[in-house]
Amino acid sequence: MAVICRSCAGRLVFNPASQALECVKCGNSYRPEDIEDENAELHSKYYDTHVYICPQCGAEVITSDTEVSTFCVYCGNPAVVFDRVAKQYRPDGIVPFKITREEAAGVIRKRFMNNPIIPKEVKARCVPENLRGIYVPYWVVNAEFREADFLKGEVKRGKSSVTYYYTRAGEVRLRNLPIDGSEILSDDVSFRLEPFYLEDARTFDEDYLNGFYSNTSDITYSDLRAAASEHCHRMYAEEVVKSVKANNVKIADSLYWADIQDDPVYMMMPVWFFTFRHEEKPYTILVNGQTGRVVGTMPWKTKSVWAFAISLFVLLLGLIGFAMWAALGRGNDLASVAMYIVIAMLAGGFALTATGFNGIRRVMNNLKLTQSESMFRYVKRRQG
Amino acid sequence: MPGSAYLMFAVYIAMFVLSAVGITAFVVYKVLDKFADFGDTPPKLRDYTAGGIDYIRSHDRVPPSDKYHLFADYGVNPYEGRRHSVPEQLVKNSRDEGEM
Repeated sequence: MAVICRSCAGRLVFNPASQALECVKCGNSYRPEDIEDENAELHSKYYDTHVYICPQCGAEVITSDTEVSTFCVYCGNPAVVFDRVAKQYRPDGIVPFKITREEAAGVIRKRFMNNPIIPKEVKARCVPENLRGIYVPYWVVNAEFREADFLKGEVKRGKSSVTYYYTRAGEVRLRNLPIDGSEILSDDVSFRLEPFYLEDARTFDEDYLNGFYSNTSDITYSDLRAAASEHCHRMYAEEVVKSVKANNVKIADSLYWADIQDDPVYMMMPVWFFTFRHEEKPYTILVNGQTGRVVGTMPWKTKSVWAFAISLFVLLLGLIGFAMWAALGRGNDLASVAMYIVIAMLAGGFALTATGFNGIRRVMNNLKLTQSESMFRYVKRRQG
Repeated sequence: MPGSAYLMFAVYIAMFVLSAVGITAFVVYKVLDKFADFGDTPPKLRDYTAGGIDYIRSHDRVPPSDKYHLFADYGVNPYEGRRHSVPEQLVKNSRDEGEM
């Protein structure tokens, strides 16, 4: 594995901005495919990696570059322990990082930092030095998928709604579907990191790993089939619901299967990890290293949000009370306007209750996924 | 006030409180969604398929009992028994987990 500069023997690190390996000493740059591998035959099937173990969360942190500073990219523990040199199966392809560390930090700062509910200490931690790039293993598959659904929906009839039932069964062929090949990332998180565009994919060359961490696929074939099935179901369900002309359409019951075609492609996909601890809890915010898409939920100032909610509640209650008081006044136009306001607020309040509480529950669930200890405990919900 | 008036007053108050709670919950959700939560747009089926879904059954306004007919007709894995080549990495992982 060639990792040193031909001119000065300095260390080479892959720079996403130039898509080239650059010497940290003299600045010379090389295209990864131009660097000759003297042991090409030996390396045709495997490549060497250094495996570190995190004593806190048990994760394996893998790097082909011994000089990458080693702390756990999953839980942020600064003391990972070197375990062994290991030979890993060589992936078929790699999508190199396109977003630099500085750009990734900038994307997070832009999304999260200019708002009043993020704690200051979290904002202060979002600097490029605290981001780590990791190549996450994916399997890119072609699949056939079949699903049978029993749905129900509501149709307006006069002033009331009638519930009707619908049946759908369908098949779909999918191409180049990326399936997360790592147990450590939850499928919910990796699903939200998509899409990855395979137009940028290159034949795997370990030189692309210089300066980054990597992970190997640790799932089994039955895991892959089940994850593909679940992945297809999520996207299929969204479409099948749209095919029913009714309101409030829901899938009441469903069965589904996926069949992965021959030769899934083993790929490495680029992801930036921003890990930090806040109030004793670990958080992991991810950035797609190809597209810059941010996935994660930041901790917020709980007291500020509660204060805002209580103030808003009191204000609304006062407003409704005042409007009701005004509505009870007789014989003026203001009274009828006030009555309309009361009715509108009552109707609006009842209509928004379910959306509001479901939305808060969804954000809280996303927050739990972002808290990486939960990520580890999270059991991948796969069916198949 | 007579008893029924007290009851009406209590019902009005309860409705006002519930309504204010509903609007507050919605606004708080929107604030958290905008300022703290990101990346919730999932990928679409059309990203990975050219032809879309090929429906082999599509019946509207069926009786509830049709569910059993649906799953009787389409409730069996159509890919059962198909064999495919499995990449070495996945074979190794299965061996490590004692599946093979």
